[in-house]
Amino acid sequence: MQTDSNNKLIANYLFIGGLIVFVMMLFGVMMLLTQGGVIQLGPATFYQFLTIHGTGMIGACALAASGVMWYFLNKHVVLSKKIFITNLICFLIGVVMVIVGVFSFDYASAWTFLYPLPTLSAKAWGTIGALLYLFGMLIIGIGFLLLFLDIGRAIIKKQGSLAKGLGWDIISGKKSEKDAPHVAIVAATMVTIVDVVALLVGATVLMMNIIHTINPAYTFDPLLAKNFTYAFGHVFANSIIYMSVIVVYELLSKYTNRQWKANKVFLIAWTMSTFFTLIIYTHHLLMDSVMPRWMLITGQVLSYANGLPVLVITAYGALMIVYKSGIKWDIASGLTFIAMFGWTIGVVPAIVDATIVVNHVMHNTKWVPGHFHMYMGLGAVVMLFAFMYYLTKVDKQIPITKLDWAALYCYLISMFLVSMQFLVSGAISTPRRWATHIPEWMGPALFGGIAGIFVMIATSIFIYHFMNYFFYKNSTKDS
Amino acid sequence: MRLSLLLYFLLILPISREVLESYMVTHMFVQLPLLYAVGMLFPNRKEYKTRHIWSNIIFVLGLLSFWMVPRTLDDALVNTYTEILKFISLPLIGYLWKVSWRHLSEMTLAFIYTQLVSMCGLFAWLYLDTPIQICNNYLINEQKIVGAIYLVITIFMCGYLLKIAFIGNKKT
Ligand code: HEM
Repeated sequence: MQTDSNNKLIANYLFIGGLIVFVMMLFGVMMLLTQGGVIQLGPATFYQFLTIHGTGMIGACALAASGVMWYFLNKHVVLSKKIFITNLICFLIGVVMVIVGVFSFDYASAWTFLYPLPTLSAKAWGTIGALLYLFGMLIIGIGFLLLFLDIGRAIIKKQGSLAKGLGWDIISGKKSEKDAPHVAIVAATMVTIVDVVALLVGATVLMMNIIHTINPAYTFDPLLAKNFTYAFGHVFANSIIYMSVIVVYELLSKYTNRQWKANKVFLIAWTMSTFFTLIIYTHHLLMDSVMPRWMLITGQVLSYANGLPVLVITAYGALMIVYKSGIKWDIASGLTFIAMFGWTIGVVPAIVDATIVVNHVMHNTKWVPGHFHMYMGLGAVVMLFAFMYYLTKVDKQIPITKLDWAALYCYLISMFLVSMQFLVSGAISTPRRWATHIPEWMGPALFGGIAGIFVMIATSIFIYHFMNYFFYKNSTKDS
Repeated sequence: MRLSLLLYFLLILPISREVLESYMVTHMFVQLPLLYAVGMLFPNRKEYKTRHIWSNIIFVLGLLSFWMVPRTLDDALVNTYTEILKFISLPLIGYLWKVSWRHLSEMTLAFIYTQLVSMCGLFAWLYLDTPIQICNNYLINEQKIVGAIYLVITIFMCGYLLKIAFIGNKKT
């Protein structure tokens, strides 16, 4: 009974997350069609769409991914359902505030709300819009902070400390590998560490922006503000994939009937990614020549290394666990595998762009959205869809139709094209975040807009399938 | 009880008020904490029921946020009523916190603590960085010292958080 109601709550997380992702895709498509010269939104509306698309996508994916993490983690540690519900409520309140801020009060600073833009908008929007947005983000952040504190508390209770959650006692040889924490615990520990840091820094920088908006006479060091903003935004967005990846471990274990055990290499990889994730946001500041040189060089080097440890052991592990396992492929396992592929190729353009000499040319071109659409759209989001199919299968045995399979291929191809379109635009030096494109830049955008429509069709089929979770009567359970 | 009243008496003396309130640093980091300590040292006669705890906590947090606004302390220097309010409310915060905090869950405490970390970080930044004078009664250079102290507090609070998270609780 308890599990049933927990799973329903988790399904709500996924459904709300999925629905928001779908709506945000619509804004994405409209932006591309505007840039492609097919529809005329007007710059002000474009920037509102850009703001809501970025905020909505990151927020919704983080929400859904935290639902995935909670589902698997709750099998190993005791989590608080009250806190889980509180997070959802905070999220919904925050979302409403953000939407009202953006659409009723014209707020359009992009989701990065880089100081002093929320305040100094050249009268494009006013104080109320900025405050609604910033307070909305703060409330969403508070919900997530509560959630991660609870997860941290639960892990400390079970393992003794977060250090042990990452398996440092096994790495140092004090304990043997067979006592290693469960893979879900290791991943959740990593995410808890980086996200608590990100959210604390984020709360500070949001409050700073709020003070500045209320009284612009209080000014702050913009470089420090930029550092803090990216230390929050980059880390939080990055953590989505580390929450979602738990589904790869758990689902493949279940499907192949083989356990995904954490060994020393696995634990070292997760520890490395914990540290790198916290440090590498500096690759957003490679163009800021006033930044200390050593920080930028560290940013470059560690950005190369950031995701790699976890990515490599996960991709390798996924291949190994599947190899000769006689696994029965279905949509959930298929999507999981595709997500690993998407994550892997999505990292490549990022690594290219994290190189300082390349960054001087490519930064602020559409190359950057190219990278994160690929690794989010083909990696993290696909893991979330995989989980949706997994849940409908294990909980309700909802049958899979040909339409679902068609959606899978449609999604895969069209999302790949959307990402490629961004990369091509970047390669021909199209700036990112420009409402208007000169004719030479329009081609890829238009192409992407059309591909985006197919992404939306596929996504709506995934979500439709998942919606059955709430209505489908499980015949085996009934009997 | 005696210690608490003695401390209160000492703080209320015109001379100590004069000395402590003439510098921003002593006002914020000596007088206020000592007033809070007055409340903490006050003996706890009554066993509070859990359902009272939340009203206490909300009251404490409300008062605390009131005194966090720089303007209120500034006001206490020129407005007698605000000064009286300060001398009543801060010991009250101390007392209510003392009788309530043990009833709070680990989670609530952790949440309040982490919020304080963010807030102290924000104050460090605000006082150190902003080019304008925040209080009418204190000069900018004093403001910078306060900022530096906040920074040190933030660093120590982060250190403690790291200790709890990474070294953990011996009992578990
Ligand atoms: C149908 C699929 C999608 C389409 C058509 C689309 C389209 C776009 C467009 C046109 C932009 C603005 C690019 C520019 O700077 O000129 C953008 C930005 C962005 N997109 Fe998407 N997108 C899609 C899916 C996603 C997904 C799945 C995610 C993440 C989970 C995502 C996250 C973002 C973010 C974070 C930004 C940056 C916003 C900013 O620059 O402030 N998008 N997208």
